[in-house]
Amino acid sequence: MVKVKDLDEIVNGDLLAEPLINSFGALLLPAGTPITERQIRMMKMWNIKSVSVVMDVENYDSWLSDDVLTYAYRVFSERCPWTPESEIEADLFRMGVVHEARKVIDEMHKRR
Amino acid sequence: MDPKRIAAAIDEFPTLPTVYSSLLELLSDMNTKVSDVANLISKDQSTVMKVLKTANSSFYGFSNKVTSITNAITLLGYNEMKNIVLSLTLINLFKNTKLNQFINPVDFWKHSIAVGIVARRLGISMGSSGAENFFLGGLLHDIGKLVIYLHFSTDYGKALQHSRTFRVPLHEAEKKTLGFSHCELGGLIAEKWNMPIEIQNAIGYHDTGYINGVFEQTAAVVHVSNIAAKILLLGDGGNPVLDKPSKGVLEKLNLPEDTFVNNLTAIINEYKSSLKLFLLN
Repeated sequence: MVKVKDLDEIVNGDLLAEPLINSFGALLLPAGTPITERQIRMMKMWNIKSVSVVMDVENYDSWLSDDVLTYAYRVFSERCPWTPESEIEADLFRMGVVHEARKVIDEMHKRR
Repeated sequence: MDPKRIAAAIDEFPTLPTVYSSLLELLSDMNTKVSDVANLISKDQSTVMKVLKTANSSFYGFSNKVTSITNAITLLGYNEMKNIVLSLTLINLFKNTKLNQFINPVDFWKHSIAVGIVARRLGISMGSSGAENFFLGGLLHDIGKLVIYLHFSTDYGKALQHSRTFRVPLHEAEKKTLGFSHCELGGLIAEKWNMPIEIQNAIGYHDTGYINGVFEQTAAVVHVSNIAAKILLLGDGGNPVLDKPSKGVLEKLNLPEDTFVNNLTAIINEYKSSLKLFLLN
């Protein structure tokens, strides 16, 4: 999920959603760079106040409540005609559930 | 189905774009230099632009900007460059093809791109050296469907109906109603295009991941990636049934723990950026 964040809101692991360009048009950081303290110091130096970030999996998943996951599990199970029979099949199935859950979270954020 | 009709359909299917055939010829010569390849690609400015956009996308994640074709070849290697050119030219060749009422070409390519991306991700997770071929195998896995849509449209409607009514995978319904599957046809197209044997197999056997009961890694990766792309509803390849992976195929791939969940964010991000690269002019 892409979100515009002020520098003091950025947490370790957030990724740059767009390339960061300075006032002279030079590329400072490409899209997808994990933002660390070092990068934040550099952005302050260039007087950058906020950036678009892709929230990392852990941040994203902090929104995943039991209710959302239960709902997502139900939605995905209705669509998926098979049940996992091994650890790796369970991982594949879980990916479907987490993806459904993230869609719910995206929808919630859009409505805010 | 009359074998002559099938042979005629394959025969009529387009040959590969000239730029790709010339590139293959060039790369088969041991004395070819980077500048020779760069000169060939540079003849078509729209290909140059697209290759550079691809090389600079989050798909590869280079920290420095790739500014020239020579630079891109050096960073990506011949095989990856060959695959990028092929992917771009093929999608361009077919993306506006009028298919039929069953499938939207844009959704078809979205699904194919998604399968390629998941396959590449799985290759990276497995530490496989053939990850670039996984993308191409995934991208082209359903190419046989284009032959069916274009030449056997009425019969295909019956196969689709059979799949929906009896909830059986599309490739099984095709065999039942047409006598062959899109996988088999796709394998023949890949053969016609002189694709590497592992790509031919990946396309021809992506329904199971096994070749006559024997596990084949690229075919298995594409088989699993196809299911993963359907799980995530990325595009629509026209198969109404969400298949279960073939027995034992996931285990044989030896994927690290939680591979799918851990790659989810990367898959979605690469999918979104790749759609812009491949489907927008």
